[in-house]
Amino acid sequence: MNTGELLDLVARQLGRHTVALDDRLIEDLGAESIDLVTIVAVIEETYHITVEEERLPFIRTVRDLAAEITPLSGSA
Amino acid sequence: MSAPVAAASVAELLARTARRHPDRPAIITDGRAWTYRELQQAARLAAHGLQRAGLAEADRVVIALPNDAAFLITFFGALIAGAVAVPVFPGAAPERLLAMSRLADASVVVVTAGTAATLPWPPARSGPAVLTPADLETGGSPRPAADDVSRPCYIQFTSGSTADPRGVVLSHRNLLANIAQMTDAMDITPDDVFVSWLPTYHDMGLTLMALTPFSLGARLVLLPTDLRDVAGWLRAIDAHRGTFTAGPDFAYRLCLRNERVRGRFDLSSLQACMNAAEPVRAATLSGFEEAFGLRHVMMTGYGLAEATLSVTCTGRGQPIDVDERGVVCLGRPMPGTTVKIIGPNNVPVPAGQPGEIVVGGPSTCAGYHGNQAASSALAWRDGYVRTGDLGYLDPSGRLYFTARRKDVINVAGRTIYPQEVEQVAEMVSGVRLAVAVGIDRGGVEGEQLYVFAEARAAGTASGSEMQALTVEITRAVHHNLGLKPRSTLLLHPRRMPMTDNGKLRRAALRDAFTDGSLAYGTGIVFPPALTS
Repeated sequence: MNTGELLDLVARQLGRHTVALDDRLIEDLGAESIDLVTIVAVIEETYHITVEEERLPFIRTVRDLAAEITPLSGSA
Repeated sequence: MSAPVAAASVAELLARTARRHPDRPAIITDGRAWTYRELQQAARLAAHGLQRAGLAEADRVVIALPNDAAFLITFFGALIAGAVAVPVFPGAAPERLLAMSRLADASVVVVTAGTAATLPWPPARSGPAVLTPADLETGGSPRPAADDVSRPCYIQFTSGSTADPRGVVLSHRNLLANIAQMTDAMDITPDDVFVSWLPTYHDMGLTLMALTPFSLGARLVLLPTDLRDVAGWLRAIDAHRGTFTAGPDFAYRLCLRNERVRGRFDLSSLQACMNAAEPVRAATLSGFEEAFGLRHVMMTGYGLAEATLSVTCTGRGQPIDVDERGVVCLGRPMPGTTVKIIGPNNVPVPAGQPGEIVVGGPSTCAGYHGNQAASSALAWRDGYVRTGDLGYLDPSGRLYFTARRKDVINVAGRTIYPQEVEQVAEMVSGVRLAVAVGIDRGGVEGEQLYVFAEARAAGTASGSEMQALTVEITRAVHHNLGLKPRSTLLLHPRRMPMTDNGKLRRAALRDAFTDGSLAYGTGIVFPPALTS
């Protein structure tokens, strides 16, 4: 996956026209707990990967999210 | 535990508790405790303030306030003035608030100061008066209103669709009956400590979690509604030694999913965790109790706004049965309520057979505000409402819920009519047609809202235009209804399944998406299917 795709996906999920890598999901983008769970579920479904549950609390920014996915998806 | 002695109105419930237990804490919220005396005094000032603004008896007051003392003060203020409260989602966009006020024929709208600044009204002299909680904090004694238990107490909107609004009109008698029933069936006592983050503008957060403790002199620890941090909920239970809480199954699942909270809090004070408003998963019941070292604290129940709130529940401190197919038992009817299961011919079926759930009793509503057609369709027989939900009764009369009424969407415990979402989505510039469905893919998030839209420029729009349109639909749905779609998908023109006479077939669309026949490239134009 690439960063642009991820930014677009997060933007669609949260209803934000612009999303930057260093935006904090909750504080800057207004995400709620259910949104974080949903974003991860959509990513898992779209990219056919699994994000370990215990990693969820460490995902604060869009960049953190990208970091969780990139090693799993095998391409940058 | 006996039910409280009958009061003449819901306002009288609070007044009576304030006389009996003036110094007991009523609400603990936002770092402040309000005693019953303070709550009642503030509600009387609010009643006077509403009357100053021109509110007359039986008028409607739209209350668009978040979870805090001001909501409950305004709610009781409206009732003391003899008016009808109409709680609505406080985050709604100004146009939405205006539309809801029109649907309710409201004469007063109470909003936060922040919202008041954004409202483009009152337009001339025709619109409702707009007040903020600060306008209701000073004044004198309100004019007394006549008590009549048959009068409307509040209107619970389950759909704000202008074409088919569902504003459930609940009388004082309905509320008083359901509060007494819940107190009895759930063994609620004045010593209970309620901890709630459920929205006060919605039935479970208002009736079970606020009005019921107030009727007894129990205390309510009231938290903000957003579940950005489930730890805040558990921390409050721990800190206040909460005994009674409630939430949809999703909320408990979220606690299990979140490693940061599991086992970190001492929830040993909990005696009752009502799990309702969303299909209950057996794994959640045992998982939550195991994670926090609890036993038999989970309770399940069935209810709907058309029956005020509660219809059935399991016993406090009792184990919860699960049938051989994994369907969780939702307990017995409230005392005085009758649940029947009817077949396609509208006649009751024997125990064990599935059919539509119908409910009769003192808490069932008479109908919807300003919607005669829907009100007529609601009645099964005199005093009974049709729920549209499917289930069965076991031989001992306990209810098992198997499927929800057609097309109705349930996200994290909230019931949403698809028409309402579709109306909002179709107001987005560039959307020709929208269809909303609820789909549960089996994940922790449970059933989620999917919006399928057909763009006016379908076929010619660029990727970035489709991205912008998708974002705009999500944004509009969130701003108006307070929830975000799980996915917003743009379809090729004429891919919406319709009946011969042009009616949308939502179930067909849902099935096509679920079985994969409707996917990117076979109907969906955006977003593209991505691969790693």
